[in-house]
Amino acid sequence: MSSIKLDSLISEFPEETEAVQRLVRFIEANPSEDRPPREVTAQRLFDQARPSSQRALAMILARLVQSGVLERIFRVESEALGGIGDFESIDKIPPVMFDSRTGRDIEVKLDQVRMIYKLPR
Amino acid sequence: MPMSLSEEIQRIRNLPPELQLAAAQRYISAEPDPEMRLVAETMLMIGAGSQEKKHLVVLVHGIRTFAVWQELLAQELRNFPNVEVFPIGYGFFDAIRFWCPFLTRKGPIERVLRQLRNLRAKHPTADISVVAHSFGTYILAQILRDETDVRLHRLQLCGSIIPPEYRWDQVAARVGLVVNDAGTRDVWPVLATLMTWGYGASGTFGFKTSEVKDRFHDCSHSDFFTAKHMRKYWVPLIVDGQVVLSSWSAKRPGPGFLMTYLNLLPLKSILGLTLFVAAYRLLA
Repeated sequence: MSSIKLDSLISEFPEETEAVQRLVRFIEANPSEDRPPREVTAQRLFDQARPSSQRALAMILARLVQSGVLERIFRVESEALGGIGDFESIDKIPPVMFDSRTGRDIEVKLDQVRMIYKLPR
Repeated sequence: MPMSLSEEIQRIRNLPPELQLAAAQRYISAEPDPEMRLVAETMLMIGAGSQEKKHLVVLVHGIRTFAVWQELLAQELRNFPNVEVFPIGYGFFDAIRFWCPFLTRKGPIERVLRQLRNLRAKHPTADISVVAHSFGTYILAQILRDETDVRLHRLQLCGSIIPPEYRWDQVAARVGLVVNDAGTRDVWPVLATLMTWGYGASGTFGFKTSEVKDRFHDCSHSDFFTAKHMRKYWVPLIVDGQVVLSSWSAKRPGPGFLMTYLNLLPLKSILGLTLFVAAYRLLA
């Protein structure tokens, strides 16, 4: 995918050259316009990239989000499994939500929040 | 003193579960920089920062100075709990000893080497990075060339007087990321090259080699020592290995007639030859 400026990321984070290459390979794998965007957790991206510095990869992912290559959401999950709401930032998550899967209001805890990256089609 | 990101993440994660989300939201919404917000959210959600490796940052100064900048940089790095700063000095090194190509340069090199080995002995698993200025860059280059047990994580040079032809390829396995901040108005590396042996003007013209990232700035020999410069360029490099580009690198003008002429003038060779001829005539 030419939209990922691999060279500029590598020149800014030269120690993470291999991590950036692994990350881009993973992001670019099997794209298809027929399918909805793939969704992966942040942990999955870290596992795929295997950076030497987690902080550096967090900065690289921030660049990709800012440039529109990746979309990032915060998904609140029900205790009965499955998402009950998506939010663009952690501070937009309300303290109490209706859990449509259990039929009751819940107090949202940080452990129920997943950070999801939507990969390009 | 404000907490570092990793300390803040640890604090939030140690709260009771029902308080964590609100604490995280307060912390994130207080971050004014949108990019750092994205980074903080990511670090928080992956629970990062709790086991950062110890990182020792050694600061080596130049000549005719007591290097107040070392304390300023230590101050800028105080919010990173895994980073420990060690300013290293070798006393007030005067211009005569700097000029003399024999013997006098050895003392500071041995002192800095001893300090590096002491730190390694005390912290065997830590990363060691160095920020060096002017004659400090020469010291580091000599140590890296001659002492194969010395390994550096990252090396930040400024006002460098290391010769541009220095064999970085021969030391590349023992030093990680090397960034050379060069000042396009810095005449001192040029004068050092002109006046004596062993030095070069890489602090003015760069190294132009794949092993070193040259970064040019519109400044002279000691203009790097501002909190603004350190915060923008040095702290990201030391903490994250991030090479923040300088816009001056692309738009800088050519070195100009005077700088180019001074750099090419074989003054020390003429001086050496004159001394040789004078000595020969005296003895003949």
